[in-house]
Amino acid sequence: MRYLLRHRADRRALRAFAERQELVKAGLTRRDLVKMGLMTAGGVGGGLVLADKSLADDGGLGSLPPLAPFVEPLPVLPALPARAVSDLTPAPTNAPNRATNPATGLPFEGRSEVHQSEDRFPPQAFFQTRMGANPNAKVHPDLPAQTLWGFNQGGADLAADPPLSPGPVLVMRYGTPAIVRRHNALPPPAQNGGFGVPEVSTHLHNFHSTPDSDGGPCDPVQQRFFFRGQYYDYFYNMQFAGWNSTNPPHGNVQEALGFLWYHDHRVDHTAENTYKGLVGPAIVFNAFDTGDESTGFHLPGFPDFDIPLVFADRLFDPTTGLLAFDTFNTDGILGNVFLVNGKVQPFFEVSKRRYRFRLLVAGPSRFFEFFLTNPGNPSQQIPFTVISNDGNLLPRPVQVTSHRLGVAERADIIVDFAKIAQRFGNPARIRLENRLEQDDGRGPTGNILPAGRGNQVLEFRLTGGAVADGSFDPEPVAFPNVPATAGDAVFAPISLPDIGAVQPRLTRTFRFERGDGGWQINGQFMDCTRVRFRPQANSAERWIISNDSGGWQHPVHIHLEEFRILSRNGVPVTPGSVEFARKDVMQLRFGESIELLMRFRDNLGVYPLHCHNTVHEDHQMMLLWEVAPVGDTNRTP
Amino acid sequence: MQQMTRRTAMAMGALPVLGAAAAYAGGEQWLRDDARGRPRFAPTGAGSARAALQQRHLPNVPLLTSDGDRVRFYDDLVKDRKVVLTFVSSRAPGFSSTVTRNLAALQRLFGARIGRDMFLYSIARDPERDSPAMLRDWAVWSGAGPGWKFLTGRPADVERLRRALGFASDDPGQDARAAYAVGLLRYGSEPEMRWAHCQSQARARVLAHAMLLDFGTGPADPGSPIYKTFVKGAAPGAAPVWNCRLLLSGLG
Repeated sequence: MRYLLRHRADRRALRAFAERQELVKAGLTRRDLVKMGLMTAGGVGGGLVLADKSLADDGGLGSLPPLAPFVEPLPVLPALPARAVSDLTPAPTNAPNRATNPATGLPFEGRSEVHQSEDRFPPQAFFQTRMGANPNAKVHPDLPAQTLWGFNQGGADLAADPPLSPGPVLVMRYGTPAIVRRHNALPPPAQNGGFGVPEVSTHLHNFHSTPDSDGGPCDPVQQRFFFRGQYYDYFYNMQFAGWNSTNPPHGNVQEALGFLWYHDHRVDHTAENTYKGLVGPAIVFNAFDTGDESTGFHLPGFPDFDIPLVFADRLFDPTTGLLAFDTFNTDGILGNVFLVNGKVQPFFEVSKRRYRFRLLVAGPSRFFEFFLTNPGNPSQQIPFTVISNDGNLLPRPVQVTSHRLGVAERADIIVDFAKIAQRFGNPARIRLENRLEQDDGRGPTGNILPAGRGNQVLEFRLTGGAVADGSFDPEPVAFPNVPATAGDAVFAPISLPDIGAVQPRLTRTFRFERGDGGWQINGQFMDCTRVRFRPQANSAERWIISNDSGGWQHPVHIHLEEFRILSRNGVPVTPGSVEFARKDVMQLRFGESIELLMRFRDNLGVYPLHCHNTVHEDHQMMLLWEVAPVGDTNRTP
Repeated sequence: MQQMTRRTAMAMGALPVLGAAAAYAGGEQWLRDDARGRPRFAPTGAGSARAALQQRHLPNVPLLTSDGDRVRFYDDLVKDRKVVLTFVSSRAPGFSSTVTRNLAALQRLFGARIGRDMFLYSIARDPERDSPAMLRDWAVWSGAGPGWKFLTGRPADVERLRRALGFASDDPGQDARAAYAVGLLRYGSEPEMRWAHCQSQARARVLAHAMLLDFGTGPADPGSPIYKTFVKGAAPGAAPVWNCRLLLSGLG
């Protein structure tokens, strides 16, 4: 169907449609037809998927007319401005500010506990942002201005400093402890346009935070999400993992985190709130990965050549042209409109030099496999270089022609437009294309669509002026041109700590499964009132994450500290694989079993383990665990 | 009836395909502004989001309560209310009895609030099999008070309701199992357009916690555990921390 419909006058499409109508009359369901191979959930040219099944099925939404692609430039997200501490009123305090705000009748601050390590690492950098509604959001010239939720740049007046979706880039540095004050200035209930709840908990995804500042979903004892009119001070000590255990006092630089993101994590409502816009990228620099291409590893300079790209697929109501979300769906939601940094299929003018793009798949449910496509010659296989996994530099760059990301996964890639111009016939345009087929929210089929027939999410126009390129060229040292070894040295100073001597205290097993009523882990549902198991502080454990189902895939995310995938289905992950890395999200595919090593250093308290298909997450595919001074031995919690 | 036909077709994915096939064959179906060739959208005003939600998910189908009253699902049961929606079936007896036990616990916890602004509903998953008389017995056994209704209706209406409310699975094998729909629980505040779901087989404390977070604590009923915790028991001037333990401390 996808292919047939590309050609306006193709009569086969109409004939096929008529035949299908007959079958429908005969009482076959759409699913039967798909099974019989008579029909696929359709997509159509320009990278627009036509009919979304999950919403069309029970929502009756139908589909939007195709929107013209590549009509607006890519928004380059601004950095959230750093502020003087005096800009934050009331002044930040280590203990939560529970004094009653006379304006709201609620405590000023939503937090309920002290910041665990603030006394050791006094904050030196301050940021402020307000979550609110922007009633004039435009995602495409042909869609009406509409209300999205987002994060602003800290101003008190939302009209003058409107919330952005995605939000501004939070830029921090190791060694500079920071406070980020987030205000909840969202509109009251019943003004949500159909979905979204105005209570929020902002997770800094993958930072080694203490629970008070992790932005988790809920806690049996502490308050995690906060209400309209409240603020919440998140404290990030900006130390590497190990600061309070194996590598005091500042941690192991090999645990450096580079590309993170922040997003709402309000229990039961994460999918709709993130869908409505409460997401944003975060970057952490260090002495090696500096943001300046004349220092450190000489990676392309921020912000001109180091660009976060936030990908999202969305549904828009064909009647009103407004963003639509199905709060009655439990399987997963796919959109037919592709946004990059908040715009539909934008274009981006680049110079012929190297760029670092930080790719983030922001959900709710779609997996992406990115290719570079030359629209003038789709048969060309254009390489690019993956330098990080989930924001952490790989020991050695890996050259690829495609890279797959599940929901919430990140990858930094280097695209060398000078070499592309040289080797591929000086194309004027190159498109970033998702060629992974996915027909419903349950997971991708695994089929790779032919070049030019996927979702062309972003067009690079190689028409920018000539600029110097002082950045490092990864190609001569990239795998597979150069074999990878366990002791690789390219990014080694901040890449992979040796885990050979780490002894797991025990093995725990987690089955991600579908039961009657919904999603479960080890046959149980999310329960905010209870922690399911207790790892021992500063120990390591071996976890087996398994998926017995052949019908569903899950991007599984663990808070607190990164894990290392040891093997998939018993096959070890080896140097040269992009998974030979520190990670915080794993793609748990059909019938897979993943063995990983997880450490629990430095912090005490409650963290979640969950599926990051946010629809599954909200439907209870999550559990809470607690790092405790004395651990338990529950092997199938 | 026409709407029903369109809906059924839509559910099968046929209508979007029709639209696109026609558009790509040159027979433009979409409403477009002629001058610019851009899509035209209906203007939206206050209340249109709520109306759209009602149309898509809260069909106003006729139903029969176990008391023998004829009601409309949206107008009489859901509109302007906070509701908890469940299905029951004699094909899934274990699951069904857990659901009714859990709703009975919610009824006890929230006290007279159930029937005032919060309402509990248990809909027959298999109306052909589970008769109104049987539902009546079920209501009595479960200790259903005035704010908790057991409901049935014409099979086609109940099936439409089940699908619209998202108690159906994409997996046909699973969908056929009564336990799938019975295993789900959906709750929402209709005027606030705030909807969420959880699993009906969870512990009652978990369900109560989720609903407290979404429904808030008022209007307080002096006899309810919630009232004792939040209104009578709250220290003057001290705002409670919204943690699970406090929210549930009245549950005992």
